[in-house]
Amino acid sequence: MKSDAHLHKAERITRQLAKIGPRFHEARVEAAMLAATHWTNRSLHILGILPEAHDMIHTDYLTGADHLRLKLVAPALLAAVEGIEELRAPYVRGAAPDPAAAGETAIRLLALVEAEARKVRAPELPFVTYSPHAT
Amino acid sequence: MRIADHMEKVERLSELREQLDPRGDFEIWMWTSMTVATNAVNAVMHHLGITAEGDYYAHQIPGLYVVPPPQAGIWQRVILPPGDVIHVGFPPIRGAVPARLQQTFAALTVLEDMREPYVRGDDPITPALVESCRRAFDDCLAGARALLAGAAKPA
Repeated sequence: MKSDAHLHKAERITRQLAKIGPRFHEARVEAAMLAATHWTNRSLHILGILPEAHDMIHTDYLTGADHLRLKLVAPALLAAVEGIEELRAPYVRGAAPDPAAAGETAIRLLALVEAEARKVRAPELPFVTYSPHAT
Repeated sequence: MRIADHMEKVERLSELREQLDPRGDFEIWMWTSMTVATNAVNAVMHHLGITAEGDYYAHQIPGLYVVPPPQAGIWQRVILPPGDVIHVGFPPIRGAVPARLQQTFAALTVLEDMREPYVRGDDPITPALVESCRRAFDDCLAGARALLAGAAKPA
C-alpha cells in the first residue's frame, strides 16, 4: 500500500483507539498493533526495505535479512512494535493477570512507534536483496 | 484458554462492539467482531472436544503458544498440539470439521477476509460492507451459542 495511505490508516485507527476504555484491553492492544503495523509498513517503504506492493503483516513474518535491516536502521521503532506484538498472546488470546496494564503499555508503545516512524527518511542508496535467480 | 475465559471475552467485548460506530470506527468494530467470534468458536471447539482448553495461549505464529508464567518478563514460546486457533485453519485441527460447525466457521471466515482489504488495506468502507460484517457476526455467534447449549464432546 502507498506510504501516505499507511499514514492515513494509522492515524484513523489511533483515533479509534482513543475511544476504547481500559476494560477492553484486548481491543487496545489490537488497535495499537494495527496502527503500529501501518507505521512500520510506511517506514519499510520509505527505507526501501519493502516495496509499496508488498506489506508485512507482523514483524515475525519479515525475512531474516529485512528484519535485521529494520533493526539496524530503526531499532527503537522495531523494539516498540514488537513489544506490542508480544502482548497479544498472553493478553488478547490469553487470560494473563493485570490485563489493563497491558492495554496501557500498548498505547505507550504505539506513541513510541509513531514518534520513531515520523523520523524515518529514505536512505541515500536503496537496499537490494540478493536472489540467485536475478539476472 | 478455558471456555469460561473465552466466554467472558465474548460478553465483555460485545459491549465494546456496541459502543463503536460501525462505519466511522469500522477497523476496530470489525476487528473486535472477529475477536469475539474467534473466542466463541474456540469455546465451541473445546466444548465439542475437538481442541483442548488449557492455560496456554496462542501466538500469532500458527502452532506456537505461550505458557505462563513469564520468566523474567519474557513469555516462553513453545510448539504444542492445537489448543486455541487464531483463525480458521490456523493451526489446522485434526480430523474433519463437524457439519454443524462448518457454518459457524464460514461466518467467521467472512469476518477474517475483511482484514486485508479494509483494515490492513484501504478499500472503501461502505454501508454494504458494514451490513455484511454485522450479518456474519450475528450468524457466527448464533451458531456458536447453539452449539454451546448442546451436548459436549460427542462420541
